[in-house]
Amino acid sequence: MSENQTGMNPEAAQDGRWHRPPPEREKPLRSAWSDGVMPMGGRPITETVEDTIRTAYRVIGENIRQGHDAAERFGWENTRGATDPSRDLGTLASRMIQLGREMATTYFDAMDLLLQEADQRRGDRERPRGQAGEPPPPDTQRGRDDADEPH
Amino acid sequence: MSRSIQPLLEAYGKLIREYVDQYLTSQPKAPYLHDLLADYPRRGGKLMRPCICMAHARAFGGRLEDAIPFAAAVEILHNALLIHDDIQDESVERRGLPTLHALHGVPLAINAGDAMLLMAFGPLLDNVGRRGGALARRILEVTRRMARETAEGQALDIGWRQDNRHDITTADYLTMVLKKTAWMATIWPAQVGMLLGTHGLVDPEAVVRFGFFLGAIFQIQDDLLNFSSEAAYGKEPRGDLFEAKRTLLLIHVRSQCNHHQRRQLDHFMCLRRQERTADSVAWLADLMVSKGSPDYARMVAESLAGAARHEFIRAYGHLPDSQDKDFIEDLVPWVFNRTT
Repeated sequence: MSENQTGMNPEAAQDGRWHRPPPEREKPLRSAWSDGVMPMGGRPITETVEDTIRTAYRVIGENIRQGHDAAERFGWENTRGATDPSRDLGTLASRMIQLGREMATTYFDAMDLLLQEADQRRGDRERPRGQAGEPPPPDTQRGRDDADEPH
Repeated sequence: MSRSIQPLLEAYGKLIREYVDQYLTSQPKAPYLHDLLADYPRRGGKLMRPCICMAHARAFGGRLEDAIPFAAAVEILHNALLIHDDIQDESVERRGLPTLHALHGVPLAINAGDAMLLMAFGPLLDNVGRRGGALARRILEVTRRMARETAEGQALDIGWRQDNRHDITTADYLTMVLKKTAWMATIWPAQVGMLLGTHGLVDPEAVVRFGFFLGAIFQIQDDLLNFSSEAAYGKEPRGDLFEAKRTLLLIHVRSQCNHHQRRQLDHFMCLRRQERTADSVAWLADLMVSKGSPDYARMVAESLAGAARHEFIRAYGHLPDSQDKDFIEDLVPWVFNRTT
């Protein structure tokens, strides 16, 4: 390798050792962004980067906030119109329970009426054997439940 | 770092392309419409948006075949918006060929865009109903939000130029990018995919921050590619400068100008597009280079890439390892280093 290629100082080689020529710069050249000294728009890189990221987060934060507000407004309006399907399901379930209760009450009322009617018919069948104007047998007047109870 | 990107883009892209082509051309041939519908999709875009949708559906536990119609809807909607966007921006080139309105005239191009906008909801609505009311409602909710945000962003982009606004800040730019680019390109496809994968059992807001940073990097890289005008880019070289788009480069260069340069720049921004000459655009490009604006934009994109990686861990760190999860993570360096 020649001297020109290595850039060594030939005069300094007289002591038997190679020396590099003295650098022209007075301090290290740093051009990497991460060093924060390269000016960009008159300011250090790190400051510009921080500003950008801060601005970007502010922009997206504001957008998300606006989205929340709009969603809340729309969600409130929505309850008056087309409702959430899951809410619909809850309402339907409540209605089914209520209908079940009403069905059960109606069933017992109907059974009660049928039993009363059956008692009435039995009484009617037994009546021709007695005299006209006689009071009906006591058990048919009082109903089934208390038929065996003492008077 | 981006090794997982290309295989999935190719595999998912093939499925999506077939579905989209069949869907758009399955109707009887309608004169002045049929050929226009499939034109942009057939030009071979990157299919990043529908692949984001499919990767999210898979990463969150969904089935590939279930996600295809939804990913196709994302791609059709994107192409519909491109047609309208090209008209609004008076762009002359898209994916290496003349824009649709340059080929067929503005009225027919608007009509094709309208048709695609409405047709995009076909695959969405055909398939969302089968999956239950709660999921359908959530997907339509995020879709409605995306439509609103995208329209607001596009309005900012056009309105700033129409009113010759010179006072746009980096925060304004990021707001516009969030609305115009990120909601449609990254946030919405991710939300649809994750809702599909989980049957609607996750909060779609979990991916908004990651999607925003990814979308912002995508847009800044798009601005840089437009500026560098490499042949593979597929759009009009330095079209953003001709249109005086309020990009990060333009915002930066204006902040670095001296009084005389700023007056010249403001005059350039006030001109109509057809009044901006190739020489004046070359002057602006040189000014941007001399002020370090491309370097600044690259640095901002790199900073946002760091934030995106941070948000990725927060939003996806709990997911089991998979090729699809790797794909989502690798999107960050991929959009930053892409050349098309």
